[in-house]
Amino acid sequence: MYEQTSIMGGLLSLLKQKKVWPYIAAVVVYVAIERVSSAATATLAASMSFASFFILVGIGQMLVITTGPGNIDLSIPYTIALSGLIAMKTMNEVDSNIFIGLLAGIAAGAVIGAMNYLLIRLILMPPMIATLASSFIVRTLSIVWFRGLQIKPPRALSALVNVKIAGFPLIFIFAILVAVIMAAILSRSRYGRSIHAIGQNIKAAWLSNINVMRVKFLTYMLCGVFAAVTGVLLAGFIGGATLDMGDEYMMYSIAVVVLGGSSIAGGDSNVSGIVGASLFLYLVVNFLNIMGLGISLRNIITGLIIIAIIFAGGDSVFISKKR
Amino acid sequence: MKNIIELKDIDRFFMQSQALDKVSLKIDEGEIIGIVGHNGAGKSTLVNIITGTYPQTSGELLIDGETCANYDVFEANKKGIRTVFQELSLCPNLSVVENLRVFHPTISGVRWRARAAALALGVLDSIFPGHGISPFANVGDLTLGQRQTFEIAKAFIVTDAPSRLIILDEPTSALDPKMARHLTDYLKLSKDPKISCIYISHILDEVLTCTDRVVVMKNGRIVSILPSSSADKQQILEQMGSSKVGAKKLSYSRVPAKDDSTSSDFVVKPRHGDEAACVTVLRGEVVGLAGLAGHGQTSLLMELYDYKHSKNYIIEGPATFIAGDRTNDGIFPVWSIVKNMTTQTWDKIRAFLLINPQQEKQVAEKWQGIINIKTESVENNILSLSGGNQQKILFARCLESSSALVLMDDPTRGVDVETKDEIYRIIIEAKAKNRSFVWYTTEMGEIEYCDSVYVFKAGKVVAKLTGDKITEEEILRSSF
Amino acid sequence: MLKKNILPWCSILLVLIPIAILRPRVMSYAGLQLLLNMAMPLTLATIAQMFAMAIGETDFSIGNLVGLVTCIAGVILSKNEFLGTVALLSLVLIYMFVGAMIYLKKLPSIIVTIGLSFVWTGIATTLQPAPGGNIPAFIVNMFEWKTPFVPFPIIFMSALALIVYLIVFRSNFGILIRGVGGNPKAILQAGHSCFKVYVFVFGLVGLFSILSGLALAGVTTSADANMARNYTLFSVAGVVIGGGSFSGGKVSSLGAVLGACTMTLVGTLLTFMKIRPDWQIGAQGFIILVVLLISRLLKNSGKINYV
Repeated sequence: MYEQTSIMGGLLSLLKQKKVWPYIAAVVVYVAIERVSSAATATLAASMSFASFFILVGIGQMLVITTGPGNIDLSIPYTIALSGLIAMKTMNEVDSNIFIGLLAGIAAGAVIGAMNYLLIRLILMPPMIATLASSFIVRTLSIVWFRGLQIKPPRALSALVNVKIAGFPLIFIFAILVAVIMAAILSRSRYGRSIHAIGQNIKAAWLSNINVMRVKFLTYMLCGVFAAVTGVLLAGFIGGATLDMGDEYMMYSIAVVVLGGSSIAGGDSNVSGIVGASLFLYLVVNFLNIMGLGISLRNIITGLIIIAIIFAGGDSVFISKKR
Repeated sequence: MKNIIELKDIDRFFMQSQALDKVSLKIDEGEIIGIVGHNGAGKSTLVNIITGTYPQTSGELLIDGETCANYDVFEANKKGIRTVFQELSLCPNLSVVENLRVFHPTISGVRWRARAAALALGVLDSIFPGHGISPFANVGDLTLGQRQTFEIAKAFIVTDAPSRLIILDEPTSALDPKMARHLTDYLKLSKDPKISCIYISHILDEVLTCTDRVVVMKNGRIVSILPSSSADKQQILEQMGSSKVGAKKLSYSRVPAKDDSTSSDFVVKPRHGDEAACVTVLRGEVVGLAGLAGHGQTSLLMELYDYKHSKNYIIEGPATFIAGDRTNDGIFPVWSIVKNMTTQTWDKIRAFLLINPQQEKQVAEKWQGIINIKTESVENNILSLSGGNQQKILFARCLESSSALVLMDDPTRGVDVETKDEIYRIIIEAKAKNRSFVWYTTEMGEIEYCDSVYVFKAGKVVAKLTGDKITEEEILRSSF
Repeated sequence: MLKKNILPWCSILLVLIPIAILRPRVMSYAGLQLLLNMAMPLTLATIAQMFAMAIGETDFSIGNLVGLVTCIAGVILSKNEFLGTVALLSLVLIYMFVGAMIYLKKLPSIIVTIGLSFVWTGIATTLQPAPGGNIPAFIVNMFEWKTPFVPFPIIFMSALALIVYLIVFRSNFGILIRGVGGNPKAILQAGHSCFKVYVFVFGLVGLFSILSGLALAGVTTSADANMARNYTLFSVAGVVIGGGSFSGGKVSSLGAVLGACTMTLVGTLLTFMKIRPDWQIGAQGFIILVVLLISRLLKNSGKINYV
């Protein structure tokens, strides 16, 4: 009797944590897929691969969102496209160039991220305006340099991102590894503590001898780097870099952060929630595909999920806006 | 004469601390009441209960002899109780007449602007001749003094909403002496005889000249109510007493006044040698910044804090900053007590790149012992602590850092008496370990702990006091 | 009045004069009508954004909503006027509800409206998967109106600037809107309801976005979910060129109209300058950044220690 109540109590306290919900939701969706599809396990593996991209992009977006209200990177889709294109062009379908291509892609992402922050700082305007305006420029660069062509990855890269170890896609393992490292950095490093402090109370952070400018600069750059890595891996996975390959990631990068239980007002991040949310969202995508429902409905559902979570969210722990 | 408002045995508690203790007061129609007392004597709590900002814990509030159920700000407005806030309550992006209309929506219809302007100018001219305010200018473009004059005048403008009791809370803090004089003259000589006023000010002479009766408050109680015409200034000062009564004074010895030119151990010194208008801080010295609120003390703290960009000072940085406005400048509300405490200590508790949670907790528990924080676990959220304890966490945060200079921005604001004494003890102990403090204080009692005090007025240092010259009278004299 | 609007006047002349030099024929009745046709929908969207920014919020779903409205006009309104009107009015109600939630729960308007934007695009592509549609004739005719002497777009935009000026600067409610943007505490102290202001303002944002969508449908005679994607950024830039600020309370109706015209004409100018279409979006983004930088330098916001 006693044991039963303590297990129930444990379960209840587990359920109270926001990050647990996406995992439960993911299981529910998976069960639903199993009902309607005969190849559920294959679907799960594919979902894991795509979810890894959500995880990587989501972590980058989460870093930015954690630095406080109004901070959000809207240039992610075009950063993914441009760095993927640059990386594939550098690799030029030659296996031995993979490493240098990866570096080129990452460098492109870092430059875009750095430019984003410099614009925010220089023009002193809300980050989403700055990143949106810079995304126009990034998009144009991709169009002008690559003329809308699909650029194929080297064979070894395609093979690498499709490797499975014990049924798990290699890129999923990589994404989990990155998530674990980022979780440690966020909770225990000087940098991680700094972005949380800035997100909770930027003035108090400045008055605590935190170098706000340096930390935010680094954050936007890291977000660009995460998007770039995603771009390179995604190009390898889908068989080529294209102009619009990042388009969906605008929505999903925000959705996984909100779903994962990070505070949209900043100052409170949650890496493990992102992993669950990414799995859940991609399973939903798959489920809708199996049901024969298209991209439009996906947009509607994801948008509604974001709004519902924000409306329901107990984000009023502290006043998130100047009023 | 009929009284318009009556307070009967009002008590008010904030958590455990009692802010008002059996306060009873009657205000007659047309009467001007002055309230004097040190910070923390309960003046603003009393005002907030009259204006309906928050309710009393017990006791009765009668308006026109009737108790008011559900008394709040809107109810108070309806009854004609108006407040001139210390913190300005105008919209800077609206013009003078538009701001007037926000408060008096009945000014409407064709050519309402002209009528609003006439109303505003009429009252402004009668109270503050020579105010120089254009009724169509944006409030944001007015000087601070002009904004204050409009804020005051707004309370005296009558449309069809009644105006019966006007509360003036430090109304002259941003006014120059001439305008302040205009205000007191107006209240005394030409105010509508039906309007009552409550006049709160640190400047005793001002209160005595323009009020009918003066209420002296101390530690949440009304000590005495005297007729202003016959009240003795010295007697009132004695009744106000030291703001820190009830607790034993801590033993404290001032640093003997050194000759600045021979001593070389500066923590802060002027860059250009312009000694008269600048502040200097020696190692192990506690420097007080006094004067009326908002006269440049906080800007100086900011300049000292931002030491790399300071134009006027050479500072042994980085300094560490203790906020008085905890919510805005100090607390990280999502974090636990431990994390809030160690924000300036990360490098000390790091193994390789990662912070060691055990070590971090040890630091917190060490301070929990030193500064006596009442909590079950240091892992609890910072907001679970009372305000005073939160403030102590900020002290621990700053004193755990290795900065030589500690900047304090009125750090005992809204803190109970016990915690204040503890904070003074912490400061004295840290000073003995050769820390230097720059302490902006609005509380006269705290100048006791300062080795030298600089008095500010209009953004500048107007007096430097040392040794026995550090007295309340001396500071008040220099402030005006 | 003129001094306040000096930046928008300068910026519009800065694009109009080169256009007049490159293509003198544009400066005729028919030329101006063609030139400014596309400015009408963007002007309406910019006014919508201006209302949001007047109370210190930003709407990031405007572009997507405008696209959705073109689809509603092309798919529903053309077949069943009643149903179409109901659909459009319910959008206004949704916006009012969102405004209420943003105020009551102190939510950041940006993320809420970004979430909304996905929903709008989703619904729009469901209604009208590919560009096309059949825009009702009365909408199209309205925007092809040949007014005497002065081209219709100029009359339309002047009237719009005047009406919005009356709402924002002359009405009791306009004072409250700007007051909420400037110092909401003062508005509350005076006994007004900030909640009502939020609900009403977001209703206006929805209403003007819908008008913008109808205008866009009328001018282009097509329904396309993605046609107005750039409106979100252009509307923000238009408000800022017009003298508005993100911190709330500072807006100008004439400025917003001129700002929107500038944003439209920049595209035309780039075409006339024979800039390749590939470069156009980027060039517009770049110009927006430069304009924002200039307006920030003109405002001179003092020393800032942390951003």
